[in-house]
Amino acid sequence: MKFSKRWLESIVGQELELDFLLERLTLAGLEVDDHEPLELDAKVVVATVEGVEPHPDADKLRVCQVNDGTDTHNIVCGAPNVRSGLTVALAQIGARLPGGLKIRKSKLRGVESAGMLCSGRELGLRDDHDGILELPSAWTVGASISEQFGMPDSVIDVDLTPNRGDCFSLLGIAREVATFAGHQLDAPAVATPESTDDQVYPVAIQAADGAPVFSRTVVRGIDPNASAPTWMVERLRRSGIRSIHPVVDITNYVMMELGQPMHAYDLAKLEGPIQVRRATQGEPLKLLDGRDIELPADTLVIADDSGAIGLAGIMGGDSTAVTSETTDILFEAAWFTPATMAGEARKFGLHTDASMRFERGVDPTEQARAQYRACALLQEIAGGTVGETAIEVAEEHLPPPRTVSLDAARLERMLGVKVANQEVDQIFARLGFAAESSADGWTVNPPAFRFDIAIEEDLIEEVARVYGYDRIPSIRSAGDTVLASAPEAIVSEDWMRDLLSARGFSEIISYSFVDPALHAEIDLAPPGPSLLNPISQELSVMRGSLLPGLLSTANYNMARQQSSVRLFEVGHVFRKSTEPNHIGVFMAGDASTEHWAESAREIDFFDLKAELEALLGAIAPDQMPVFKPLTESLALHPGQAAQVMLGAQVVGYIGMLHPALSEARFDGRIGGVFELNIDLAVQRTIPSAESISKYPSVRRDLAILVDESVSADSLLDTVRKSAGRLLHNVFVFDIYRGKGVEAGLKSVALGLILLDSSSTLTDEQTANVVTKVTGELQAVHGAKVRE
Amino acid sequence: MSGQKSRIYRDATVQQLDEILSTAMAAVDAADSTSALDAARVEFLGKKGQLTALLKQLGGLDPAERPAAGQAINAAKASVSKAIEARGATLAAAALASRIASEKIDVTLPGRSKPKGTLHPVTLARRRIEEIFRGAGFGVRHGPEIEDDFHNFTALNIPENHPARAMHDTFYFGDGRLLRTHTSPTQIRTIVNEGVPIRVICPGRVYRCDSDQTHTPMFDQVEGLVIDKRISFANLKAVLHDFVTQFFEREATLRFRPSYFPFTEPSAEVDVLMENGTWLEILGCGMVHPNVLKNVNVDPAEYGGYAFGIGIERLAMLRYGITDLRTLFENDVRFLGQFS
Repeated sequence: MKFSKRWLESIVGQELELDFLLERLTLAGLEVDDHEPLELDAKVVVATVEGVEPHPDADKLRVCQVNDGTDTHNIVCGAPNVRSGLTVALAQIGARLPGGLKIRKSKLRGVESAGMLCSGRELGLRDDHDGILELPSAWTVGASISEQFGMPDSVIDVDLTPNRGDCFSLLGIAREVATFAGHQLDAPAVATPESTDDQVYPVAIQAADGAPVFSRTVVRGIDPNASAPTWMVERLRRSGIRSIHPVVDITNYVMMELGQPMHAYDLAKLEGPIQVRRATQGEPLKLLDGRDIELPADTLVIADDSGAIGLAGIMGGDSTAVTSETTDILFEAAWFTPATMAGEARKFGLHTDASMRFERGVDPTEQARAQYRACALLQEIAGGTVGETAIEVAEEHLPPPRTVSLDAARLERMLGVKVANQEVDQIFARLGFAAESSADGWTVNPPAFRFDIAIEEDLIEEVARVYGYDRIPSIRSAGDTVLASAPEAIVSEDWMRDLLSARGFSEIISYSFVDPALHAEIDLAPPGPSLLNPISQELSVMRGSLLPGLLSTANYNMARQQSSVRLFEVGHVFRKSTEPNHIGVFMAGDASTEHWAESAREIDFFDLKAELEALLGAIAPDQMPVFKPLTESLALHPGQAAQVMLGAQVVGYIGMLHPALSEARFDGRIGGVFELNIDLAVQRTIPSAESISKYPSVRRDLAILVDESVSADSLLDTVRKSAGRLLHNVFVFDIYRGKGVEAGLKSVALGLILLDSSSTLTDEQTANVVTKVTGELQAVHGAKVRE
Repeated sequence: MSGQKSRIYRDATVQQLDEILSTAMAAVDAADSTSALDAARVEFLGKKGQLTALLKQLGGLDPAERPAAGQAINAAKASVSKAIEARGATLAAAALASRIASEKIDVTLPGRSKPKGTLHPVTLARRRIEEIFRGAGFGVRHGPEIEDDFHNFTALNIPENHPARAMHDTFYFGDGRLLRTHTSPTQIRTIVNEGVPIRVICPGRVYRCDSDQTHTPMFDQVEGLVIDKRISFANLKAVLHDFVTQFFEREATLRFRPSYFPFTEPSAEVDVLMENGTWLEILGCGMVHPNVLKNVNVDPAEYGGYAFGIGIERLAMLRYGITDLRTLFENDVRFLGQFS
């Protein structure tokens, strides 16, 4: 909420030093978002236009004689509204305007101008730029405009927390300022206006549960040509409220001053008694903002015989709005319950000053006071005869009086400091809380405007707040802590991050919501749920895979002169009802950093697989991953992709980007990716040491010819199954195609390491293993041993 | 006769020995490689070598002369052997020197480098936070990012239509589920699963429907929760003071400002005094609201505690001098490369 410091001072009853005020507000829990000094150069003064002549050389310019109280100056002015007799704001030579413009003596088309007549916008006082500012003729010529407009001043913007609806007014802020200054605010008295008319407008309250208090006052015969005084327009402007019409301005002014939202109806347009009732389903209403809405059933409305004429506590209707012809009005000041108002405005896409206040809670005892204030202001500004203020109150729907007790021991235990009982008494007094103290604590009746005081903790907070958080000491808590650590068999995500960053990968964090169009091209996993209210269409679906984020990030970086990218991300992916934790790795570009002794090469599948093997070797060292070719994916190259399996479980995929996807999304570059569900992959067994064999191992190499379609994995598998217990390790150390090998076949060289833990192997033992293995390779794969 | 003959033999042997010796010494000196030196060794000292042959002739000598002759031959062998050894050493030294010379490289050329990998600054900051709290006996708990209304709001004393919901700018899915706006729901789940007393932090990703220069729709939080029988606001002040001091590795000056969160009371926002003398808001905290305890079946008359919430990005930015929040999620490797 924005407000003028000087307005606040008028209610507090004293001038407040700015820094002191800002600190006091902050320590009261009213966070100061911003503050802005307001002042105009003293060389901007009130002046009168004494004569206007056409400019000899320009149709749109006029040469004016302007009196600033000391002298009469020639001022060239182009404003259409400049005329003789007008009271204006003159920026004299040397004046600096809020936009930074410095006024100099100048010639406009050959005619000298000794200053500038200012528009409201040039002075930062109005938004419009239709012409020069027209000032009240009563203003003293030569007076400082700054002073006339109530400056210097500061606009202070506080960010109010939802519990402090009571601070949504100058009165509320003033109460806090006083409390923190050590006393309770003496609220400014509001005189009951003389009622010169005893007419009371009839109302029928049919929904007292939603509107327990409803007051109204008729004012007749106001001057339709009256305008709101400068001080009011300025105070409202500093609160961010535009001046619209004196009657509307007054309702806004009272709301800002006292916190009570008001509404004014054009009495002539009301048809029959006012009704406060629930809407019927589909009932039409044209709002003040010009929108036509259809009301859902049970919406609390203000109505007359013509139907709904306003959304209660949110916005009035168009049909009964005050206009420049209005002479008779009806002021409404009601109390709508927070429960009724909660979320109502949002249903209509609205968030008004009134709805915001009613939702948080308006003082239910101050409606008459608001009426009196509004009527007094109206009479002052536009005359008129004020009728009697009548109030309907449904006691049974008012908040019941609250009694909240505070236990002194609990207060001390919760805060960790003993606040002297006497000080607590004073704190309650300063807050305006009626408190009775006993041996063990206090019984408190909070004032009606404090909707946030209902339980003991609310009182503890108030005491702490006024006592001062800074006075509460810092005390380290004693007590036992539970020794706990993560299970050793679970490989932590952070450990994986370390491994990958040590292997040259940069960790990224991408948004969990991605572009559904991109996700659709990545068929490795379905996307997760779609957001109802995304930031944008491109961020509207929860990722089912880390690849969209990795691919977009890789593309972003490759497009910025990176010759290679090595990225990884750890994060949740989203399924219908689960969100497994994944790790994704993406590589593209050069296989190694460019080096004077190495030849450059682009990464391929096996560079990628090396990283996956390194990761799996660390997180699941006791499991043999199985790579099952993946030939049906739109995202991955059908000849260079696989599902990654641990045991019978698919834990992820690996592959090079599909050329088509790469064309569409990666500028045709080669890239590779793997992704693992680490919830499935991180469980390993704790190592259990075995003794190392004392005997030497024997290596036997086999070169076999097999059909191209036979996978290395299947060959190794056969060797492992047939070699028996002496096989310590087996690996592929060469693949050969070409001269000497028939087309359609390949030569695979296998290295077998044989070892016995209890004796040195004999030639016979070794030969037996080789015979068994070759026999089995032949039987299973049709392998021929190459001589 | 035999004496005469023997003399002749001896003289011949001595003469032969001198010749062989000088030939051998010349050959050794001339050897310019280890193989030439080996050839000389074989030629003179080998089984069929010339000096070995002389020794074999000793049998033809008068027994009285044999020892002297034998000594002379052995002395010659020893000097040849010594010469070979010396020559060998010279040759080896020369060979080593030549090898070293030929293997000289420019040691200022760069090594075969691996690309440099990095951890995201948010990860770095999160780990620091976790490490500090782990050291103080806090457990670390995680929870789902798609939450239900109960855990994200209702259980935390934010009933439907509560104005505080407007503070949260929630992303919804339309089926009652939402993206968690804070990691507090994980605290709720943890109390339900593990009961009290409890001492945990819950780091994780959270979401708010807000995107501008200083807000990203996704960010990271660590929330802390301590519930026990005698926990005070003074304890909360101490733990946060210690945390901020540890995190920034300098004595922290904190300002606790009254604020409002539906799930804590009293509540505070905490500012840290920056080196330039200004206050900067870094976290929110408070004493756990009794309604929250009741919602998870903990008796607020017996137990109480504190909770706090820290924005990881904010701390990462302060710690690592990052000025634009959005760079954290652009993932430009030139930016990320600075955090190795």
